[in-house]
Amino acid sequence: MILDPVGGPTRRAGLELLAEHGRLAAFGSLGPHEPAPADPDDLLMRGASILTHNSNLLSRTHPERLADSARHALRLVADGSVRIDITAEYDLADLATAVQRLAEGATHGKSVIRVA
Amino acid sequence: MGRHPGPRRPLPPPRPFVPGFEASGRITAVGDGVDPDRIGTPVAALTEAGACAEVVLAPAALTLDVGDLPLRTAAGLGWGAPTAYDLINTTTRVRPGESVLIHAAAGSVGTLAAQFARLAGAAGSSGSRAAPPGPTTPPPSATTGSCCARNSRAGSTPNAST
Repeated sequence: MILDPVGGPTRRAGLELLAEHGRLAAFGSLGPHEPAPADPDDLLMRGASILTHNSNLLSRTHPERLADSARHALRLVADGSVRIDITAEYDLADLATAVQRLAEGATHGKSVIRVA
Repeated sequence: MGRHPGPRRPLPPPRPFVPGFEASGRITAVGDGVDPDRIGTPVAALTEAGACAEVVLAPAALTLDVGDLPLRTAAGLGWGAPTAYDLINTTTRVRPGESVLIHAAAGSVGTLAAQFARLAGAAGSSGSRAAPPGPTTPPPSATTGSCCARNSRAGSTPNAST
């Protein structure tokens, strides 16, 4: 299984790496803007699949499905099964700094802006 | 499921704009067709933009009750949590014993996806953070019904939302 928000050469490499019956889920295109062509016959030989996930589109077409998934996630956070890593906290006045750090890719988990 | 026209990447929003796609806080007002009893409820909200602000407008369907969860934690839920949940449980349907490679593993989606993968019984997950953490897709557009939440804390992932 490969979760790939990067695309380009990373996605191409991922498609080659997939195990038998493996799935690659593309859910963003952060990286270099290059196509990652895949041959369905090649995938078929390995029983492998490419899938996509677009929660932005889902919010417009099926907002309730997105909300259901968020509620599932919320329950698992609330009962302690999973943890949200909040590793940075800023005042609203420092928003520009927060955005800059996100853009640099130096952050881990979530950054939070304290508004009130 | 037809062809999806338009640019592959989101266009920069017109300036000026208020960034932020997710927030937590308490509902201060509701739009037509939304239960007024929701006013005062602590929530986490997914928005099309503008979440880094004192007051945030969000679609009612994407304004989720968070119960007793601290608002600081709820602010971190955002788009990342349902995305990570869906990637593991809906999109790829990870089965017990499978291995998961997570790119941008230090981001909000990656850190949660690794945990959801473990819950799904994955044999192991490895992460990469060669790429900047956090996914990209344009912000969502509004749906019917709306809530207005006073924002006690807003998640700051203005460059990210998938």
